[in-house]
Amino acid sequence: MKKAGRVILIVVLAAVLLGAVCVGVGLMTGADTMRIYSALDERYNIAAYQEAYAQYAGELIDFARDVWQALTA
Amino acid sequence: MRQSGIVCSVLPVREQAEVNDIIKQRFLAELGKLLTFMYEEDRQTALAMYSKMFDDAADEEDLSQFLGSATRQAVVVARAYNARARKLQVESQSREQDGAEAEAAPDFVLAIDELYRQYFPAPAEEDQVLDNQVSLFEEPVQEAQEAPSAPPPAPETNAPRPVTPAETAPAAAETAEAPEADGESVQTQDGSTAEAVEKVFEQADPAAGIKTDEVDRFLEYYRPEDETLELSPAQEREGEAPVPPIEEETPPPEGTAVVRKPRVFLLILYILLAAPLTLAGVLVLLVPTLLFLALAVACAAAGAALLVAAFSGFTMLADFLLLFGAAVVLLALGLLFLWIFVWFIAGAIAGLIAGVIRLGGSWCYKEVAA
Repeated sequence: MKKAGRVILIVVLAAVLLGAVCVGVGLMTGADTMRIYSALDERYNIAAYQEAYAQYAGELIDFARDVWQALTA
Repeated sequence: MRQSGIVCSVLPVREQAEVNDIIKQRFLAELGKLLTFMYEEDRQTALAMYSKMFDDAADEEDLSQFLGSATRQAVVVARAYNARARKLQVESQSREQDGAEAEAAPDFVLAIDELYRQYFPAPAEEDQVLDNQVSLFEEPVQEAQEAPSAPPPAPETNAPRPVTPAETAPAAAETAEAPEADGESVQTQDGSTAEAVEKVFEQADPAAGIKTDEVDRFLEYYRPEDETLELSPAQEREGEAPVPPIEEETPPPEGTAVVRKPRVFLLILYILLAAPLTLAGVLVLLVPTLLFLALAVACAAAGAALLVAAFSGFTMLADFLLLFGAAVVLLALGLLFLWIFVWFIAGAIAGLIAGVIRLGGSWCYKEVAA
């Protein structure tokens, strides 16, 4: 178990290092995050998910606030 | 033997008795120094047996040649000596002090006794055993008589055999054959000890006498620490933990049947308390476990989606590299979270349950002799 953990840690560190290098090279060679976001939104409809999560989180926060006010009133 | 030769050449005018005494004293002093890896009581027993051998021998030079160097004899004793087994044996004997059974002789005593019987073969009439009797030493005596290099008996052939625990031990015949006469290998109890001993033993030429470096090499393997020596050096080299002091809970040595009996009231009380506490602990541990599982799934899903998008929807290399890098990082984080989840399941939760069960076993059960 300890040996497996060590191997996984090494793999994870290597992958993170590789990903960071790729991101850095991409940014330096002219990658545009807005262009990528629009492309991904077109493909996966990210804005809709974002809006749904925001609405859900807002309702959750409102519910917690109501409970708190009911308890403290 | 060089040792006796030196003494005879340096002191040619001394009387034979004084020379013999010097041989004996030097041999025993050197042997005593080499046997410090044994328990003090066992060391004294071994030295007393060798001293008895010299006392019974008519010609101590001849006996010294038969025995070889002190290093060689220390190797013989070390091969037949296992500190841990000896400790358990002493413990079991102390428990059975009230019993009428005879004590089992330690292996090193049997090894020295075998040497004694090789050098002092018993008279023929003593070997005759009636038909309705069982001879315990029939085979070893025959082997000793048949050994080609065994020295001739001393002039006083009726020299009494030493009274050793071996004569009271029925199990003696199956253990510890002395290697000296025919060079047979000795039955060893500790393989690593035997390997270490072999290294020393290969270097030691019995005909060349005692060498200082032989002693040094032997002491490298059998480094004395104190008089009560808890560990054999072979065990130290293997990196084993020190031998814990023997307590009442320690299982007795082989041959003693042990039954685990539950302390019923304590066991019921423990179950009533431990079961809900363990359940609560497992539930508490399940929260971070499931959280890490969710994170792992989310990261893996997001990483896979980015990877697919990078290879299918982007034509610019810079955008592709950015997406590819982000996907690799997300997948790596997913793997890390998955591993943490596995660790929580197999390490923390399973360890908690196993620990509770083990604790209950040690608290609520007692070991009693059957």
